[in-house]
Amino acid sequence: MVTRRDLLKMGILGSSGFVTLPSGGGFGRVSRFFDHNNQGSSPRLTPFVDELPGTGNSPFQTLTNVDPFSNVQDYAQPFCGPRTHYYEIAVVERNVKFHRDLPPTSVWAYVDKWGGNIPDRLITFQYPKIRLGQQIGGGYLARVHNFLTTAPRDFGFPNVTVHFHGGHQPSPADGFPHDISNRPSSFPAQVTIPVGGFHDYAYPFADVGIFDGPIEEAERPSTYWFHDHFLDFTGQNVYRGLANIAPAFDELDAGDETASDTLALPSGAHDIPLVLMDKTFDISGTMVFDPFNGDGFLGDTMTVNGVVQPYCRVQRRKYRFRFLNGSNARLYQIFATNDLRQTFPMTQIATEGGLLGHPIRNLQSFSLFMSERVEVVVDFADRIFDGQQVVYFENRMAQSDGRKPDGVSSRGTKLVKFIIDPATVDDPSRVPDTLRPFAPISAAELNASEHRSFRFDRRHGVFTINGEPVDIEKPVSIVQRNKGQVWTFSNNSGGWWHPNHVHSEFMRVLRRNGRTPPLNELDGNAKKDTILLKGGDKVVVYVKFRDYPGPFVTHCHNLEHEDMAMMGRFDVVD
Amino acid sequence: MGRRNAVLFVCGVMVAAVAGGARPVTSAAGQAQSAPSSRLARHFPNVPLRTQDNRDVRFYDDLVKGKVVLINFMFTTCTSLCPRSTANLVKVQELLGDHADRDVFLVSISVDPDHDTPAVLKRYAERYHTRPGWTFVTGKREDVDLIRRGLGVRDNDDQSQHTGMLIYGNEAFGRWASTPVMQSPATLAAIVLRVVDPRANGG
Ligand SMILES: [Cu+2]
Repeated sequence: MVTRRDLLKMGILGSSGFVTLPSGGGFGRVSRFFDHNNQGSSPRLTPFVDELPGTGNSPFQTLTNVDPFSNVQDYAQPFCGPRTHYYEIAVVERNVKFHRDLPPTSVWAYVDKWGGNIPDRLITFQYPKIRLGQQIGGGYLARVHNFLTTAPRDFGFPNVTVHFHGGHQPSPADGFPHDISNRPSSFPAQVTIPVGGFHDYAYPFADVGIFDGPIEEAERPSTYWFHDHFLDFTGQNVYRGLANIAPAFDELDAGDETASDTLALPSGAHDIPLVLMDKTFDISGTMVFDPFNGDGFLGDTMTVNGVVQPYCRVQRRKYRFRFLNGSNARLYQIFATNDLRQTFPMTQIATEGGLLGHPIRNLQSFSLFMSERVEVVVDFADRIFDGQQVVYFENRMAQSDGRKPDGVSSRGTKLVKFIIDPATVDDPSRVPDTLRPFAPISAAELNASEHRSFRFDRRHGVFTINGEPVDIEKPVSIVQRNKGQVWTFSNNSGGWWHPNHVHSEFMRVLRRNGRTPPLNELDGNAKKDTILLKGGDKVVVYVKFRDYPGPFVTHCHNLEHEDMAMMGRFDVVD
Repeated sequence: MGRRNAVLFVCGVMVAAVAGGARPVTSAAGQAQSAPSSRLARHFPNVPLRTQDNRDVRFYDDLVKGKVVLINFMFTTCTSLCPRSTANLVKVQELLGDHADRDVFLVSISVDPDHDTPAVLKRYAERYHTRPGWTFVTGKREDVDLIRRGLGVRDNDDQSQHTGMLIYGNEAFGRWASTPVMQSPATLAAIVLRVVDPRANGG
């Protein structure tokens, strides 16, 4: 096993508002985008005519395992070993169909370089089953090629950089937004990928604390996603299609519902990722965007896994749904509903930082802000579903402005339709009362931690952190590796909501506006990589950066805010 | 793993692995397009403006079309941010070197057009020793507001709220973004130069 000390010796690590529609139909309408740009709205499309990608007759490809590369980039070599799996992802422009009645339209997408006949959908592949808790020398090495065109386009920038969101990976594999001059000697001069180039991403999937210990096995996520992060153009590039989801497993959450020595959560065909994104199409069916909307771009058409309002056939049994808000600026409030507008309870089992300590049962709805993951189990065999043939996930958060939502309304937009097969089936899966229990951060650890404040504001039309506009060459914070941090985030710009994301390590949420946070983010039950700062919110979190030194970023995950420089760089140093 | 070059395109969708093993994706064609479509045109109202040299120009035709351009909003009586941001942009213009006035242009638009006449703008530009390739413009307030809103600058408070961001883009290639004016000149220059020649490799 390569130790952190070895890596240091090898010079690898640094020493240093929509109008609601009748049930069953349509999608949200009227965004601020149209108020200002008179583009009209997307063609009206019949919902629920395309199958949900990743299910049934519309499966995802499994990323092709390739032979080890002989020329792995320097920084990544120490993380590669005999157990490392190698993959090649291509970033390409392609035409895909978002709906039966829409013509193929241009997107930028991640595809399996060796995928052969790639479906004409936006999201087409999944990583092979990711196993957490690896030793260094295992994990994945993903080589990402940029095959985009440099030809003129309406939006997007054809340089890319891939952030594996929720991942704990070396800084040069983290998708840093910009090729910086002010960098540690171990940090590559080039981490972004120009057209024709590639970058090697080392994903060790090792536990936090692997180098110096103690190993923190509870710090295991369950649903990653990966997306573009290019400075000032992230929103355009992600909206253009550069986003995908990546479930992860370990011996406890093994993805095998028949294995009784594991949690036996619903698995396989009953474990379904749901990537929510809102898009806008013009009258010709071309996907469009407004690169001058700095408030936050809202699409008027809802897609799930890259398809407009799909359907999915399900059985009478439990399902695990992995929700990801992949939208640039839209916040969701998700309900399970039917055509009579009745709602059905769900059980939340996970969020960004993986499985909760204990499930949150009888959840009537949950909010989902940008980049947030919420995993729920729905049991279609429960008596409450008796007689129900069709159930939807529906978004009832109204939003007409990218700055913040309008509020929860009594009816919303149905995102995905589930057609329930009435036949009785066996269901070996469970949702145990204890999932992945862990202790809250101790008082002793908190006492030994360093305290810092990050005040988000807006001045002269510019987002500021502690009163100053940011500069990617200048860290807003230098952080000692392995030194606990108590960070207070406050949002002083009341008219704006900001989900703030911290890279590299999960946050433990200690206080929200002076009170104990709710169970879905409370330390001791949940770990978060993004926390919502509503107008006026003040949230105190604990975070510790172990293992990987180097530059990382913390930023608002309203991608337009991020691109308007609501992003601070922090450098983890030894 | 064998790699072959032959790749067929149909409607931009890869056709691969016809026979005998997998062929890699090497590129994929999107919709053919020679210039950004008229979809972006609405952001650049082609309103009449007047420069610090008393020259009549049209915003889109003369200041934006086919250019790499850095656009900010300012007013000469501003005492808070504008003096610092103008001074900062002077340094950026220096760092742009040969690009300045050749393929990168600066446009400063007054949000106080009633006061900021061409003569006032001229004195302002001279005070900061701006170099060729930097145009200060004034015009009718409603026309300036059209530009401001077209470019997404719409904080509603006082006019100083419009002065903090630098909008930069390459009109011919359809690449537009914005970034705070008050960063180090070196960072700003590096960021905006990324859009100058999108065919060139390098971030
Ligand atoms: Cu924000």
